[in-house]
Amino acid sequence: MQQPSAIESLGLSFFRNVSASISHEIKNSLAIINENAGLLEDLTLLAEKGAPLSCQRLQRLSVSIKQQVDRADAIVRKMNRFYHSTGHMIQPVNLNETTLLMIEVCEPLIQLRKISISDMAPDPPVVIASILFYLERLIWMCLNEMVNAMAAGEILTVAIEKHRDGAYIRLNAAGPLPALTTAGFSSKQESMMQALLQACIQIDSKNGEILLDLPKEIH
Amino acid sequence: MSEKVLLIDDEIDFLEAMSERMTARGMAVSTASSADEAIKIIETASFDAIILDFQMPGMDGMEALKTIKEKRPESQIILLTGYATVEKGVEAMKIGASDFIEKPADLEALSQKIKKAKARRMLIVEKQQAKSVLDALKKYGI
Repeated sequence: MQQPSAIESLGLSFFRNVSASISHEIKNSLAIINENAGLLEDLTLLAEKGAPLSCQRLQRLSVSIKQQVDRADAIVRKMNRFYHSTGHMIQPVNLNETTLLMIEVCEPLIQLRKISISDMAPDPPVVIASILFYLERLIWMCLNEMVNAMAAGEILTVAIEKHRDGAYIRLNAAGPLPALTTAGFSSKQESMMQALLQACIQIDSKNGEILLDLPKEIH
Repeated sequence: MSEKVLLIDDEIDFLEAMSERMTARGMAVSTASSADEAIKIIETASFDAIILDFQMPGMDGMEALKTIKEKRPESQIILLTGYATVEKGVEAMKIGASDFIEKPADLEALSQKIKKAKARRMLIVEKQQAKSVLDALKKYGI
């Protein structure tokens, strides 16, 4: 049986991590809907035994259920956008949309670490030619490395800047990040991934920055 | 006597609904929306069972579980997880959880786990008390 290549393995691991995170988010919504449905059942049983039924209480429950349905729907839409990005073709990539999607995908980690995001995206959006799925993975890696190196309550600025030969994605904390290292990007597989995307990553822990330099078009 | 339960989850809607349902079933329920808040609570109160969401903002579930066990070694912690497998269950036990249940949780199944947790905790506390009595008797040569 043919084993996946090193890059495909990285891609599969990325897919697995993101899928697990998304399913956890959906489970949280389902748990709330489940408890509210259970509560409705309990209130109904009590009403059958003569206990008064509060319309306000019922309304609060229905609002909560609707909110969770909307939340789960947004999560599934995010999931669909991600799943539709899998593939190996070189194609035009809207960097603004892709970066925003990866920020949304990282949201559970961002919330877990209590980090705030400030994103600066140019208008019109920056478009480059790249392999969308692997580019998403690279951006996701950069976001993970930054967020894991930051302290709770800090602000992460994500800025996209067009330059002559392509674009930068700049991830910036407010100050130095001693915990930010090149370790996450230095393996042979990661080097192969960066070479495939013709990307260059610069890590500056003194200024708390990751700079991702992407070409206008990969060949 | 009713079970005394601490519910720890960052989803407030979930906490409120589950807390209300458990209270209606005769349990004495306290809630915490973060691991930090929960740790402050357990410093002054003990519980028959602690229901802990494994993934919350701030202190992560693993760290929360370890901290609770350090402060209250007799604690019976039931993990709420988004993905329950046998392997996850074994992993959870190794780090000190007494049981786990997958979200969305069936309240009847969770209530059974809480009853078992209470029984286990009572056994531990009784053994600790018996040991203290024996140690005191030995100290006075009895």
